[in-house]
Amino acid sequence: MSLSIVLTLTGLAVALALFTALRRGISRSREGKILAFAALVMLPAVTIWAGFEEHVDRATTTSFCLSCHVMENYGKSLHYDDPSYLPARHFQNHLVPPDHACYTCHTDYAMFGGVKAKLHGLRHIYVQYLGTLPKPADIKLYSPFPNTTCLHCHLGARKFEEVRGHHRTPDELSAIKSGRTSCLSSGCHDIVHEVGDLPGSKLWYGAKQ
Amino acid sequence: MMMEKHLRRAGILVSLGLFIQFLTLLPLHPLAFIGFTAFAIPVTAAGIIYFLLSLVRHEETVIGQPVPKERPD
Repeated sequence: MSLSIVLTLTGLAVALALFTALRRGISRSREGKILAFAALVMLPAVTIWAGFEEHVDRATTTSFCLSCHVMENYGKSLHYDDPSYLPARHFQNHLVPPDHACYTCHTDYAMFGGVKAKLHGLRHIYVQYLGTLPKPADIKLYSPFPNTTCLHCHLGARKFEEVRGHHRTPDELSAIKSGRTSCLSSGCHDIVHEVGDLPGSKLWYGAKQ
Repeated sequence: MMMEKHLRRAGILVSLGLFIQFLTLLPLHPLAFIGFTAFAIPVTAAGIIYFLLSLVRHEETVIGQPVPKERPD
């Protein structure tokens, strides 16, 4: 549901609830009672649900993740003009949706992965406003980056299945698929955000019009 | 008369909660989400619950009233 629809629905619900509250004698007629029930129970419930959906959906956007100052450098790292940086390569080539870049790679695709990501997000807000902020370069993942996140898109892709690097030993590919060999921390694809490299690095912000 | 009062209170609570939701939808910021979950949802839910409880109480009062005696023809 788009934002304009949710905003219109919310405005309509506010107006109807106010009308019901301020209109005298509304509960005397049968129609008035039905209107009051719709304005004070059904429509608010639908509106709150739509608002919740909208808030959860926008919490997955790249601009939402980068709205905290501490994430600024991570946002810049998506623009490194160097394809050896994994997030930059994925972001700039639209291998992940640019509008949902952070969420695509940093959420768990298992059951309740989204809920877990939201709970982590609440902790981030707590640290941002009430805790001690770490330096951007000191920010670490909660757990090692799981291969399942990479395999969510790459599994079955010809480039992934046939690339020479994934067949250096007979069981290399199965080790990657089972998670025994980590994509990121086994020395193969280990150049990620590296925000410490930002000063002096060339950045790419899209093709000039 | 009592029902009107309850209706007004519930309506004000619901419209206030939904108005907060409207405000939280305008900026794209994590605090807007917190404002939505911490204020908009509870206030709106309180209005809905208050209205439903007042309906139930009103029904109980009506049911509990003595039935008027039938007049002999």
